[in-house]
Amino acid sequence: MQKDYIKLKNVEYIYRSDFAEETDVKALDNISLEISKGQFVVVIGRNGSGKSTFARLLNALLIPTEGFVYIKGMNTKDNKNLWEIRRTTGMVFQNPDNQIIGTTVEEDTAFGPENIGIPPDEIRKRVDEALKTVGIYEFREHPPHLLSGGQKQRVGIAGILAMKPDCIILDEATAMLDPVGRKEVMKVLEMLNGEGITIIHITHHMEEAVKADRVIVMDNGKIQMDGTPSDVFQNVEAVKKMGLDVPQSIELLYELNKRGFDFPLDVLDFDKVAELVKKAVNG
Amino acid sequence: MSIVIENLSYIYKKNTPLEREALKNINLKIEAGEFVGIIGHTGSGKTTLVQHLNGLLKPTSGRVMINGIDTRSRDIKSLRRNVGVIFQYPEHQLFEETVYKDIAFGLVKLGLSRTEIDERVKKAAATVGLPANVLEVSPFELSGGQKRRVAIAGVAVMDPEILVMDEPTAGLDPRGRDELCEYITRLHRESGKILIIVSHSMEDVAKLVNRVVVMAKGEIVMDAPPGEVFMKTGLLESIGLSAPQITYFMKKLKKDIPALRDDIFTVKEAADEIYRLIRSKSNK
Repeated sequence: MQKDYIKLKNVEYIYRSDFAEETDVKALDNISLEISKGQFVVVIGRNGSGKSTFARLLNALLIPTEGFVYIKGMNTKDNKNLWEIRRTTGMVFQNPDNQIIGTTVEEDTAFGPENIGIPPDEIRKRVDEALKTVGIYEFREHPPHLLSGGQKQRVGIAGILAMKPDCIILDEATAMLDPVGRKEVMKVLEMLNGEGITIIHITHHMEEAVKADRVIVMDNGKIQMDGTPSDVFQNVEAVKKMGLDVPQSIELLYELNKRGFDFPLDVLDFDKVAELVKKAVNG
Repeated sequence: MSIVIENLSYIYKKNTPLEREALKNINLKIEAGEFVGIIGHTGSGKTTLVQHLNGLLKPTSGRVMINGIDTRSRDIKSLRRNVGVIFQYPEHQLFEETVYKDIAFGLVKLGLSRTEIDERVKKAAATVGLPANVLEVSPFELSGGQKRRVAIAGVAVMDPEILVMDEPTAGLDPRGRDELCEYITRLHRESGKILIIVSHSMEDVAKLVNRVVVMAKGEIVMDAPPGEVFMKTGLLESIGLSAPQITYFMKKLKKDIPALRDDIFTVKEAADEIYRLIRSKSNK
């Protein structure tokens, strides 16, 4: 496993104000981290904590004000790496309606590979494959605007898959979806991750964070916590202090402890919570 | 104030190949002071239904009566004054230079006096938990949760007797969501208005409302208190919905611990129930 597949070194990002230096906003403050190839990383943090800025640095939509971002060893500050970086890390945004441009699903999926000059028969193959992977192949001739939100986001993911990326970044891509749509997208992400694609998923839904290998918590432009989901979420009070939630299994144990019990707080699996409760009830 | 919907049907693009019946024979009566949650899978007709309440859509057949007045009658202005609708992502509609001006916009159009405007803006801002010092800043400098609250205050300030919110908590971070739920509860408790929320979040619905209307394929399939609705997990799943996560947990646990109540819809209730059971056992 390539450990420093993605590497940030002392990264700072400042949104410069047009008016005066005092109104500049420092969105990221001295961030260093490495992400290994094939990791499933979830990033959480309140609105304005720097999550989206972080995501945009990873495919060179933004270039750090200070420090460096390397993708597979390529410096994002170096212009000649731009195409290769964007092909390596694809990005899915929050609102599916803002990123779909084709008049049919397959046309939309073909947009990326067309732009990088892939030969037509290869495009055909990639598009079919990508649409099958995300389970939307049967809708390939539909106009995208008639699909549900979950289906549209899967088209968004297919468009990236057709570029054969190593890494997919999702910036609150499940925020506008209903629970069914969210589950559809999560299922696709887990499957792609199983095939070795690195996933970086920004979300406000803690039950999605449970599925990750690693959870990064951002606040005030800094990384406040970084670890496995159970490592992070057992710090219930610290997580809540940052305006976030914990998964419901841990929330229940935490509420019970408030009522005088002493349950461990690192249990993400509801079946294990049930075992603990049964033991307590039966004495 | 009351809402009476009788045999309402609505057909999109009637007489075209794309004709689609979005609402089928809806009957619904909502009285003053009720807090109703409308739930349903995407495309079930929830938004089409609430768009009938302020006359944005007119019934293809049947009728919608707000306080005894048919929404097809001509007086659309007073209808809109009675029914405030807050759409999804309402913060996209903010546009004024300051929070104060944005909230006051509707009142200014009504031609009210400056003192009355001032009083009402401040009260609405306080109700949704906006501190006085943000009134003079640009709404675009606020956090997502605060922007959402400015947008809600801008509708609440008009003092409509019926307030409809479509997905009020979508896209907010957890604290923003919890705070907004608190303000919505307060708004309902203090005003006695009819409040209607459309939501995908069963957790929010379980916490907030006292009546749930469940829609599927343009029809109302259930209309009952949350407790009754969320116990019918089979029916909910058959139409692409689910009960709150904690309800499933308690149902499963009850199989092994029959003395446990399983009509539980929030984590706090679950903790209370487990606590009660363990204490009653240890007292024996």
